[in-house]
Amino acid sequence: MDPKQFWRFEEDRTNPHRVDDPLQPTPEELVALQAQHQAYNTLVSHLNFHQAVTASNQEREAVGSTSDITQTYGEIVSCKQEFNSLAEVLLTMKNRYRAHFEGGVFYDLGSVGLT
Amino acid sequence: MAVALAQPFAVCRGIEILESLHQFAIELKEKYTVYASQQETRLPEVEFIKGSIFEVDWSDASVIFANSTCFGYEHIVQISQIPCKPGTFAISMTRPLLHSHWQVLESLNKPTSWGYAKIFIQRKLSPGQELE
Repeated sequence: MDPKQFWRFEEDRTNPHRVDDPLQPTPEELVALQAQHQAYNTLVSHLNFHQAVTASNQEREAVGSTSDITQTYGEIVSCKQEFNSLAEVLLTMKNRYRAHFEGGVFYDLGSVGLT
Repeated sequence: MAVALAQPFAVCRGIEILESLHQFAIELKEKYTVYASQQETRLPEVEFIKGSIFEVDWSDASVIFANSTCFGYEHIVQISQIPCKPGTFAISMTRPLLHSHWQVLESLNKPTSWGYAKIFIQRKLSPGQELE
């Protein structure tokens, strides 16, 4: 593929939902989301975000891939701040696009190669 | 793990090639396992796999998430072409997967630790729908 088309994508033009029309969680969903966020904060409270970044950088330096920035934003994810964003995306998938999560498998594709 | 707390998947898996980050994840899993055992509602299993996303088989995915803001063109192409079930959902950040294999359903602007990012919700096309 021509790299110039890298940014090209075609949204479903029959879809009335655009970037300025985000799904608003229901009051019940907001309550659940707050409880989930609280649980998440408790579980990650011991983690040192900067320590994780440092360890990651050191490992990449060790294999000589410091100049490879492709991993940078994939790792520098302070999930404490992004929990709500990800949770709301999942709600959008379920409520607007009939994504079915029960029994399903979720994959977080982490850092790309150390080349 | 965040997703495991948010939605009732059967299992949530993380694939990580860096040993240091993988170890952080393993530590986190221990805490999550204790927490999950104390809940009345069954929570998803959480698994962390040490390896490359281009070598680990994730063709059984219902939903994939790629924090792809700084992924290069080649990585996006590779990920887009990895076989998985038609109808699989994908979440990517800043850039979508290739439209030849994935249909963009919606894009959203959401706050992240480094500012607002465009997040794409996509769905895997069936073989007859894929473009050359």
